[in-house]
Amino acid sequence: MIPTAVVARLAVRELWMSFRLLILLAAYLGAGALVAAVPASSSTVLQRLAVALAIAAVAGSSIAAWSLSHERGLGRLGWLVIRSVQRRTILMGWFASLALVTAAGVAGAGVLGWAAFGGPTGQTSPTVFGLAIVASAAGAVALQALGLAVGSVLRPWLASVLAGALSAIVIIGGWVALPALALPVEAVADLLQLERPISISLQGAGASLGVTAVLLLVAAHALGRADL
Amino acid sequence: MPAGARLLVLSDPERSASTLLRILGGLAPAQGGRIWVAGLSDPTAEGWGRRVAYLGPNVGLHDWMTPVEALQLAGELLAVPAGEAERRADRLLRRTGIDRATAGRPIGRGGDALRQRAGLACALLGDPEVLLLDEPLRAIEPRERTRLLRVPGARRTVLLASRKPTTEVGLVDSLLYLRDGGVRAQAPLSALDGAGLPLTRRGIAELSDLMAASDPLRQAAG
Repeated sequence: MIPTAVVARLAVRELWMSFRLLILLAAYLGAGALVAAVPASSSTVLQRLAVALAIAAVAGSSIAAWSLSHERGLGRLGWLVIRSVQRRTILMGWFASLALVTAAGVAGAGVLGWAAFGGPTGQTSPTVFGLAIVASAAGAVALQALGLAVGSVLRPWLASVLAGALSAIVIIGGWVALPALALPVEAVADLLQLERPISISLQGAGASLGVTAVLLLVAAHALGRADL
Repeated sequence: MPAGARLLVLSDPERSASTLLRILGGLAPAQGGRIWVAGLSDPTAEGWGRRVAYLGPNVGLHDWMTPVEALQLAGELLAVPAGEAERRADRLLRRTGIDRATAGRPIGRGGDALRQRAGLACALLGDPEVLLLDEPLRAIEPRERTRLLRVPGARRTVLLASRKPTTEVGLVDSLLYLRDGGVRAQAPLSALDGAGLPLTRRGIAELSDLMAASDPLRQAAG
């Protein structure tokens, strides 16, 4: 088995045993369930779903920062490094495990949101809605990469709080202060008003993945110089 | 250092010895210079993990992991063939005093002593040429600790960083004393006996002063 997969398997098990996997899944599924449980008009459902996904993404960033920093502090990353596992491989393993859980959570929230939104009424197609949700997942993964970058250098609590705060600033700042820029969650909220929802979702997903790559490079650089 | 040496590393300030071993193990970044361990200068090089092992005061094993799982994971990461890894794991579990029942229980339930025994077993799984021991096995009773740390292998080089040199009797044959970022003394343990000094921090510091006083090059350097 390739080392990244070994680390990812280890990370998923650690997330599971420490309940962080459940918390992350519950954040997304809870977001979807909350939206589904409270009746509202289609546009309100979409706005609520977007806000709930954004809150869950902030939680995900916080959990990512805590996880990497905690593992570093306990010498678990060092235990892997001394066994010839590259630092960037450890980072990618943790990123893959967190992204996997996030993808599952966002997918669940999307299904619940689609049911609450009344997808079958024909206001928008499943493809358009699905792409907006995929873009949201890409945005959430970018925030996790931010969390990993912060967790590479800071202590767990500080990293967790800072990653959460930075993620919240990115989302709120982007949503409120930059109306010309369509964040992925913003695309979900305004799905019914968008003229070109598919292209906006694809742009959001692409930009998020680009940002993810840059943040992972930053995290790899920071982890490469860290004392494990 | 010649292969097969068993070196006690002490330092003033005390943390420096640990830092040196962490740098040698590739865990901490060096500010400059280059190191060679077991013929390799790059801790990320292929085969590093099979040639060099590090055991520190904090063994980074997950609480939920059992000693058997930890050894399986170590074998997988070090690319030890499965059958051979299993044989070595059985032997190391016996050697580190982990019985069959304990080997199947989560490490977190066994406390620090079990964690450190499992850590030593994992460190020895790859049959490393160089063993870096940084304040190892402090949670284990001294006599048992000494037994565990008498690692066989005439060609195996052992560096042992310790703040309590009196507890390392019988484990090392030479010493390295670092002070203010430099090597102040490197000598066989017999040099301490020859000078009538005990194997204590103070004794080693005095030996260092004696060696400096008798070294004309150092005197000339001021």
